[in-house]
Amino acid sequence: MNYHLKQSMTPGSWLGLALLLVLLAAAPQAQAQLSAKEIIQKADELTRGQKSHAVMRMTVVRPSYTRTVDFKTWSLGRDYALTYITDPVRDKGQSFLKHKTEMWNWQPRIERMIKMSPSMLAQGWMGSDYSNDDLLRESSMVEDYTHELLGSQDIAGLACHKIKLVPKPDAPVVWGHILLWISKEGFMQMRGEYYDEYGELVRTEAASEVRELGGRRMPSHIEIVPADQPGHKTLIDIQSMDFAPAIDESFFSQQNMRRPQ
Amino acid sequence: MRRLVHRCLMLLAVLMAFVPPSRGQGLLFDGYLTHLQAAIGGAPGSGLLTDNLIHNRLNLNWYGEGAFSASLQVRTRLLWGERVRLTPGIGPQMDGDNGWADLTTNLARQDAYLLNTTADRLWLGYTQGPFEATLGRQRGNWGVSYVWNPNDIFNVYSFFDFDYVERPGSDALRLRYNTGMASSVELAAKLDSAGRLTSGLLTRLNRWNYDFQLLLGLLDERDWVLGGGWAGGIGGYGFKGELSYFHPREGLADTTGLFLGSISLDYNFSSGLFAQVEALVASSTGGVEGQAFSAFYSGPLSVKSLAFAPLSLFGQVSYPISPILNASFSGIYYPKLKGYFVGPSLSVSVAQTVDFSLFAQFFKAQAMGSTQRLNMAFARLKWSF
Repeated sequence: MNYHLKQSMTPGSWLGLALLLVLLAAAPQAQAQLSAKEIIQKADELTRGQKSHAVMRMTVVRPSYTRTVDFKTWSLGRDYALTYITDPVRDKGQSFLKHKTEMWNWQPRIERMIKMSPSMLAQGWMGSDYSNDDLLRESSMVEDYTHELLGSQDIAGLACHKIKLVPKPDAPVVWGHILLWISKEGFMQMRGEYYDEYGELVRTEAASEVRELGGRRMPSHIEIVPADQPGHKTLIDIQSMDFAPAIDESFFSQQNMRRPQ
Repeated sequence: MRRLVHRCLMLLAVLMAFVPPSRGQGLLFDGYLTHLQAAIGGAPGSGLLTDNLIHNRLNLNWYGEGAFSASLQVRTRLLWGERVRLTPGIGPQMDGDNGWADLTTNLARQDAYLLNTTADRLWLGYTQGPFEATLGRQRGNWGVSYVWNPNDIFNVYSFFDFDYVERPGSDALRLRYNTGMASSVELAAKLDSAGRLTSGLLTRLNRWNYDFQLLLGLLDERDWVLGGGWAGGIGGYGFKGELSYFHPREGLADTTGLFLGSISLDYNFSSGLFAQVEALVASSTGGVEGQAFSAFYSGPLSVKSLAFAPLSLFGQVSYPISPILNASFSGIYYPKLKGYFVGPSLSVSVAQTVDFSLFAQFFKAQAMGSTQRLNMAFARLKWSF
């Protein structure tokens, strides 16, 4: 069981990933004269408490190989998420259901519903270049950091606010500081640089290919590049997005996990 | 009749090979093809037996627009090598299954090889809102723990058979009413090859961040079963377990029953290392304790004979060395038998749809008055489609 689990993605990652990607979505609303904190809050708020359905591909790139995982994901607020793997065929039909702090994994090959343990929830997918903190979003970009507006810069052809985030002393955060570039229109996170406590760059996230997805303009391609591992990166491609899927709480059930989506 | 079933199966298997892979709703077709090379040894110096297995699995699942769904899954194996050559009884032994309908047959048997096929899933499903019904050969999995499942009264299988994760099915009717997101009531009944009935009622609940289940059943028309299981967490640890008590129907007052319990803890370290431990406790081993060691491998015949020893202790660690390379190491210790099982494995994703794995299994125990050993090594290439 675990063998198969580890061969595919660890479950926490799916949900975290789905949340991360939903977080990247932002409605185009022009606002003027916002503080650094308000800008981050806008980027954060706009992604909360919403319904979504997305079809995505994740590609893990290593110097000698690449592997892709295709999946569909649904979310409702922060409490519910369901992720269904469509490729690779070895893992096809595996699904993950999250409700608040609980999570289940359905493994169709062995026809078993597995209750994920708390430590599995806190686990990122080892293959990808995410840290656990990103995946779980346990920390709040708004509440756990102080924010400073450093200026403006164009990223991928978009005018962006450049903001420095420094964690508050007792915040549950692994970073020394973070630089985020948030588009002035639409509050899209176009770039992020994550530094350790010694001020060394650990990871870069670069968003691009802004296009209309589910009626909103948002980046459809994200590259996560670890600073100290040449040739390593993780790519996320959002193939389609729907912000008004016809689902409610009853969609997020073990019964639905078992049925191919 | 039996012949007819076999012919139909063969025809379906052939037809399925020509069904174009489907990736949408409706008809879903997938499966895999593996080659497994095995080397089997006993006591040191007694030489090695080699064994080859080509194994094909075809899964055909149909999900209708309406309430109906259906599944046919066929497992076909071609075995050849010294073990097949030196085991004349292997043909009759594999020619049939324990189900009410015999959906297993040897398609061909010569001295040097054996071609065997089985339909281990063949069911029709009906869903109406929260109600689900499934009739036919299926795997109703009531287990919670990883290694030992005293609650899984409908299925028996061997933990050591890593090449058959799907496990056999049973010929059953299952009715399930989903009462909530993670709660349900399930009624199931199966018949085995002797026409004996096993039935049970299972209630699943989700409370206090735990999954709970309670079961009441009848096993092989002989024993009442009362059981329960749970899955949740203590601190950061996963905490799961199952308890079952079996009591003979005959002489309810003057016989003693059998108690089986499994309990496990697991932990996922931030490095990716996953560790788990599990213990199985049995109030009696029902005579299996003294059996030949090969019985360990082939697995129990009933959930009641799950335990080889009063206490069995399991541990496993697995670690993703890279996104495509996973290593694991598992072991079981049977204090009463002064015996153990050790099983390291290594698995590499060679390409998006191709995996290569190495497995080894070492057994040693005191049984039938002597020290018995069994050493096996396997190399498997697997293509999923």
